[in-house]
Amino acid sequence: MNREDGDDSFDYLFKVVLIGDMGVGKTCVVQRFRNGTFVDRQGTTIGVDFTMKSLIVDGKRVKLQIWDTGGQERFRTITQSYYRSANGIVLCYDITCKQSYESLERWIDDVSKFAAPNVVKVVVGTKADLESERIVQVEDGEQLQRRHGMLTFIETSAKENTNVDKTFYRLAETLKRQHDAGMSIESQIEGIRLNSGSTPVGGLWQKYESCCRY
Amino acid sequence: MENGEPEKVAPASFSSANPAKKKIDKLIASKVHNDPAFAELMDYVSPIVSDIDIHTERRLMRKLEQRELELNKEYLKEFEKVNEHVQKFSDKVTAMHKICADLTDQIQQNKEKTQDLLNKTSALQNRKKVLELKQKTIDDFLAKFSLTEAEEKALDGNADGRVSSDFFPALDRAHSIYEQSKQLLRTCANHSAAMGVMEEMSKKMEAAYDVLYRSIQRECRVLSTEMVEVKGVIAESFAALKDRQILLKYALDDYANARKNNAMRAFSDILTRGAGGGKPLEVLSHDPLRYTGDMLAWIYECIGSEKDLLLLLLSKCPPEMIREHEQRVLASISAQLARTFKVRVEQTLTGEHESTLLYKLVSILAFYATKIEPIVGADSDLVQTIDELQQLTLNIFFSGLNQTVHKILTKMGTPDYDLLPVQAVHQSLMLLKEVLDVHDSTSSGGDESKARFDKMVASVLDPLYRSIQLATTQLHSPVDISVYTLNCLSSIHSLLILYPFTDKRIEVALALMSGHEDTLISEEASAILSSTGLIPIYQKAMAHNQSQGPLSSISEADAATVKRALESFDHFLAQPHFGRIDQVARISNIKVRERVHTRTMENVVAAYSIIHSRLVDPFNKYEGLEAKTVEQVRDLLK
Repeated sequence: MNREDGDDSFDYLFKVVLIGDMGVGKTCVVQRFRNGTFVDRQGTTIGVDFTMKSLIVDGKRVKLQIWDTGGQERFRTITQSYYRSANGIVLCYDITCKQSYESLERWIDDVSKFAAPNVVKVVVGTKADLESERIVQVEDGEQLQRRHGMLTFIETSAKENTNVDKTFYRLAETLKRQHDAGMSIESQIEGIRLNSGSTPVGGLWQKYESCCRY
Repeated sequence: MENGEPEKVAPASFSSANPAKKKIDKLIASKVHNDPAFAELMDYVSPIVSDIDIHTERRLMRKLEQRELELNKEYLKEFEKVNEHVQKFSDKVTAMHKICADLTDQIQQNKEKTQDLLNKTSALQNRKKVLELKQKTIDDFLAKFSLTEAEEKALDGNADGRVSSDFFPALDRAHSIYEQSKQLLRTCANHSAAMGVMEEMSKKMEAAYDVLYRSIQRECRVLSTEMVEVKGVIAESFAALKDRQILLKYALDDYANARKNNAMRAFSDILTRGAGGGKPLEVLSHDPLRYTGDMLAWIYECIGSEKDLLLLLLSKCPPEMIREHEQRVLASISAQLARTFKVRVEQTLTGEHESTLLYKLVSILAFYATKIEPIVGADSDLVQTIDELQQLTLNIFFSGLNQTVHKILTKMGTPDYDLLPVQAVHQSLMLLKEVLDVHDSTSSGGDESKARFDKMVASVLDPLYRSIQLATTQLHSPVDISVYTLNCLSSIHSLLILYPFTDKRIEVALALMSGHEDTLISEEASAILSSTGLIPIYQKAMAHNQSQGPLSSISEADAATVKRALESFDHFLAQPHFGRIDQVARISNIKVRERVHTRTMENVVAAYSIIHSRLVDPFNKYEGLEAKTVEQVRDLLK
């Protein structure tokens, strides 16, 4: 935590980026988490939207900066800038839309190119309330999670308020524990600052070597 | 009878033997010739005795007896007559006695009757006394419980319909009589007089209040034409109505009506003709700020003096009464001004789009609303109207602001080669600055002010952010995107820090900036390391595991390659600008540029320190390599 914002009312600050195809409902998930509301017809997100919410984890105040990105192709380059400093990434697909699930591979690709290697990833299947229209099975989501070593897979419904808070809480909890553990790792790795304020050097070699890693 | 006695005596004296001498003496001694009674006797007997003989005496005796008998008989006869008379008389006396008794009776009766009368009279006299006493009491009572003629007259008012100063004590008296009789009634419940008096007084008071009300009406009508100092009578008149709230309300309504028309006339005059030789306000109608401001100033002054006048009128009323009516009356007086004012302001608002001007107008309206509200009350037409106009102006302001921002942003072009914010960004920020400055200079603080501030910032910044991000989609290099975005965000940030209530916005801007800074740092550090050929070595070093043998035995990390790379790096250290990304120099904000630079170099040093640690490790068998220490590198890159 080397960011020193004026706001002293938190012990941890983590940046979380939501990505995924356009229309899977990223903004709805964020709205549900932030305001507890559901607006059926959200406008298309232009570039990046920013919200904050504090949670209490293990008795500490954890502030999440949530970056809700526009899923349109044209914003892909812009939103990449925000992966770099992200501590957590929420990859979203729509369980009623096969294409959104399949696109995740490309999104994951972007993440591995630009995000820090220790970034915590969560895969979320949205619109769980539309069970009758389900195309992507739960197993597909679980498989994806295992394949890419993601923290967890959760199906959510912003409309019915299922699992939204749980997803973010789980993420915040993991980030906090990882951060607490990371403090000691940091001293071991000679002078390399693996923290939210700067892009770890590891992030940039990945950019050049990603093809070799998978 | 007397005639007979000496006769008898004489024989007696003759017949007595012994005493006979005495008798004879006596007889001899008696000198009959001198005795008249004897003479008379002689006279009487002589005619009867004609001859004297022995018989003579007997005859005489007889004759005398006869005569005596005769005489007795006659006497008896006469006596009987007398008796008869006496009897008659007795009868009469008896009758008279009876009459007398009757009379006595009657007198007695009369006497009794008189006694009765006397009793009655005395009773009547007593009653009279009581009645007189009562009359006195009643007179006293009436004197106490009724109005004097003068008072009655005062209560009727003057001939011209106004009341004089005598009116009020009279009214007070009527009132106190009323109260006293009420008191009286309380002590003895069916005191008809008290009831009567109460009724009477209440009638009188009703009439008096009526007179008073009419008088006030008249006075107020006069007041409206000439702004004279208020006479004591009016103030007293209002004070006297304190017990008749309804009448007071009506009177004040009448007053308000009169004043309302007066104020309206004055307002029309000031608008169309001007006052005191000044120009009419209407000539300012092209300048909405001055026009509205001057109108409001005039209205404010007007209700101020109306307030003074009203307080003067009500100066004798109890304070709670003043409090109760003051705002209502002033609100009523100002109501019509509000309508005229509204029409005028609405006229000037049509076709006005200039944001700062509109916001200044909002501020003026808000300022006067807070000034005027305590005088006429929040519910008054005037304050409501001003609030409505304020809301209207605010709506026009925001829709104008949104339109202007939209107009500016639709003309936003692709970023230029210099990656500085395009004109539209500056224009938007200038616009925001202008409105925020106006807001700042007129802000009263408080939640409403903050909410409005947030709305202004959002009206400009939210579309601006979107437009900037959309514009950057036309750039191809992530470095260009980041530099351009950073430059735009720096401008936004440097504007935001000038104002209060922008903490959240600043946080967003800084968070966005840090993301882009990270991108640039990462890109630049990568560029430096790759241009010097250290990237593959770093990568091998990171992935290296001692089980793989010495690092120098791994391809692309052999001593020769490393040496070349280190030479190349030395070259870079000698000329640190070499190999850097030229876009980074286009970061407009020096602080940001330096921060990016410093952190880039920190990253380079960090990468180098990892490589260096492997190079100096004997296990990796890099012999004879001249590698600068991490400290040397750090110093050189400072």
